Amino acid sequence: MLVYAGAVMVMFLFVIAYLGGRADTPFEGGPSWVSFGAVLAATALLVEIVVVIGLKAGDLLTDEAEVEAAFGSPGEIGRFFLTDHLLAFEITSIVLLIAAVGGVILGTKTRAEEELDARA
Amino acid sequence: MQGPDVTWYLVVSALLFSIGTLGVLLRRSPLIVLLSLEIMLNSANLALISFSRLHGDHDGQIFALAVMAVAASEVVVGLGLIVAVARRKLILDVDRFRVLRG
Repeated sequence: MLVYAGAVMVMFLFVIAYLGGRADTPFEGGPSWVSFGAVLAATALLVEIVVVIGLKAGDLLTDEAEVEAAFGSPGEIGRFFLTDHLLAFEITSIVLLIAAVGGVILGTKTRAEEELDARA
Repeated sequence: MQGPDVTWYLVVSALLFSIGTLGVLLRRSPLIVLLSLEIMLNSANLALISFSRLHGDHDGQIFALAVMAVAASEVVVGLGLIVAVARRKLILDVDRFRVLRG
């Protein structure tokens, strides 16, 4: 959660500020059938999911499991992370580490870019 | 349980997923496409967590946290690519990213 709120949203804000007005390519309209198809696909997806929920799963969604008050509390989740799901926890940490290294590598200037800057 | 039924959480999740799909398909700016991808991932998270609550099982919540970590990594790499492209003074348009060659 902390990773998400801290890293992702702040990164988005930073990049939007960095790129300024250039970031948002104006919506050129494009061929109208493209946007029409996109709207159609999204609407079909929404309708399909809602219909499936309404028709097929109506009975299954009503009998909810009884849970104690501590269900889903941070302490409980942390305990599960360090006992039953330790492998997932470690893999997650390695994925985050690799992403950080990759971000740094992508962020450093390459030699070609420095030449580009020198010419400009 | 207090609050709305699980069905409504799933409907909200479907709505968010459709909004994300629309954003990915319609917008041309890679930043907005990444943001829409985040919306889709978060709708999947919402579905996972509501099913986890429905079954009284913790696995869905653990999975949702793993999905969040993967989403964060994906955003780091994606935004790094966007900044690298912008630094070379290329046009930020998804339709023009045919090859990843400088």
